[in-house]
Amino acid sequence: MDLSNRPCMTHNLSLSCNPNNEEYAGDISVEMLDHVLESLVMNSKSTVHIVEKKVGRNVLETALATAMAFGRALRMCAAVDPRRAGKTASSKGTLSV
Amino acid sequence: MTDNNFTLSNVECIDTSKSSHPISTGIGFFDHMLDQLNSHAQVGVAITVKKTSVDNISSDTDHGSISAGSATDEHAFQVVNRYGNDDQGVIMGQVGTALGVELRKLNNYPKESRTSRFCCPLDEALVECILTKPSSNDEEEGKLINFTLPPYGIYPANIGRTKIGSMETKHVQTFFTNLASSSGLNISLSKIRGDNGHHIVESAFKAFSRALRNLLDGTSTNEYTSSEFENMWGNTSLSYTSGIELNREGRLERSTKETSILVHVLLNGGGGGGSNTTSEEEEGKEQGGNVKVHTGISTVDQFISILATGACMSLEVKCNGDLYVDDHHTSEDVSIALGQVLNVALGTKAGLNRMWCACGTYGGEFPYYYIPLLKVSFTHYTHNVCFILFCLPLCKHRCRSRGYHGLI
Repeated sequence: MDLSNRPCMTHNLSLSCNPNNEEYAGDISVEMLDHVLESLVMNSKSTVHIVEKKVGRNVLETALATAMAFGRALRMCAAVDPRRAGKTASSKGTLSV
Repeated sequence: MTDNNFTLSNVECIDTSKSSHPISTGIGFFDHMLDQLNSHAQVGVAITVKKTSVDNISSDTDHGSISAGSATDEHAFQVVNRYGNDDQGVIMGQVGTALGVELRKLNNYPKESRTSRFCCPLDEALVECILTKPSSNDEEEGKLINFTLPPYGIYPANIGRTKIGSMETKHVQTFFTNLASSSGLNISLSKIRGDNGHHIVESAFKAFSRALRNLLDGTSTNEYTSSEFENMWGNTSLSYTSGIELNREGRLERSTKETSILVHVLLNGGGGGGSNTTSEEEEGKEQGGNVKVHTGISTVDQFISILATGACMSLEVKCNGDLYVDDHHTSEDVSIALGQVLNVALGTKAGLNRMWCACGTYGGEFPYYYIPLLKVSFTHYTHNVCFILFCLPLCKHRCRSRGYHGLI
């Protein structure tokens, strides 16, 4: 994850080709999981790449593992780095606006 | 006529401080790449390259005084990019060697065996860097273990860019080979995704820089319980208290014909404690604490709750949507609103860590029927195993239009 102000969402989650041909993950349609990720990332103006290392037993597990990784990455991206003393972490000096 | 004798001067790597000297290698894009160590490793880098004998510009020119604002000036372009194809391999190799020597002198250069990893995104590109300080009796030391950045982009197909700005891309490998050798670190750089050559190279330098920062800090991007992590980022750290003091908050309440939504986020570290201190099941079920999500779609509630808990934030989400039509409007509008509110709460992002890579697992072990097959004798199941092994990637590749580069 990169809080870049340049929205970009890329993933290789096995949603459309999940092994069981699931249409639903729990009570949400699988197509909406894809859309939820896209909407969340685009509107938060961040760059997020998701790399699936192992296929879940079902799409719900895949989605919840994604949520966990997403949350942890967000926590660490949003953390203040005191060494930066308020400066933006960029060779540009500021992020694109 | 080329003269491959170069003098490197003012070579510095300073931990968490900027150097007063410039980065001036005579290759503009390479300067920009080394500057990533300033921004993302927080190691102040300086280096000036001059030709030892005949230089085509005055030897006492202070190349470093060129301001960024004059970069479009033709003279500035020629000074910044003063060394061409014949010289670049030597320069980038020598710079790699010189900076590796300096890195090794840093006080917090690891004394014992240690590994760090960072995956750095840059728009569509994603490069993974693994740095290892080997143990003293390890045979492999200072090696570029893996290097899969080329081709640098997809234009032209299968070839990519040979030059970025004036820099020849083929020397990136030379730089990292020499940097590994002189720093004593084993370096692995793997392109996971990437279509744009500039992005691929830059995300490689950023991934290296961020992995280096973690190596110097003794932290790991997937280990949240070490004392080093606790000191740097944990609930008793200056980072944590500084984050609380910012009072970061975002709130949105709005109604349309399709959905009525309230999203309220506080980046107050209050999402239920460290993400690794609770089991995944507890995180999933935990609707108490400061995370309350009620959208009418339980999978969305669970997804957002786990996310918020992992992010250590307080979150309230309420949605009353037209689920009698479909799950579409509710789930989309909630995620749009959550994204907007996060963007507000994060503000300018100044002073933030900004980048991280994390792993998440949920559910049981790899459950598929082909796992037992793999464990039994190949002599009996050769066809089955091969079919599954080859078909799974093919299937995925066909199904995903983008973002898939063969990782499972």
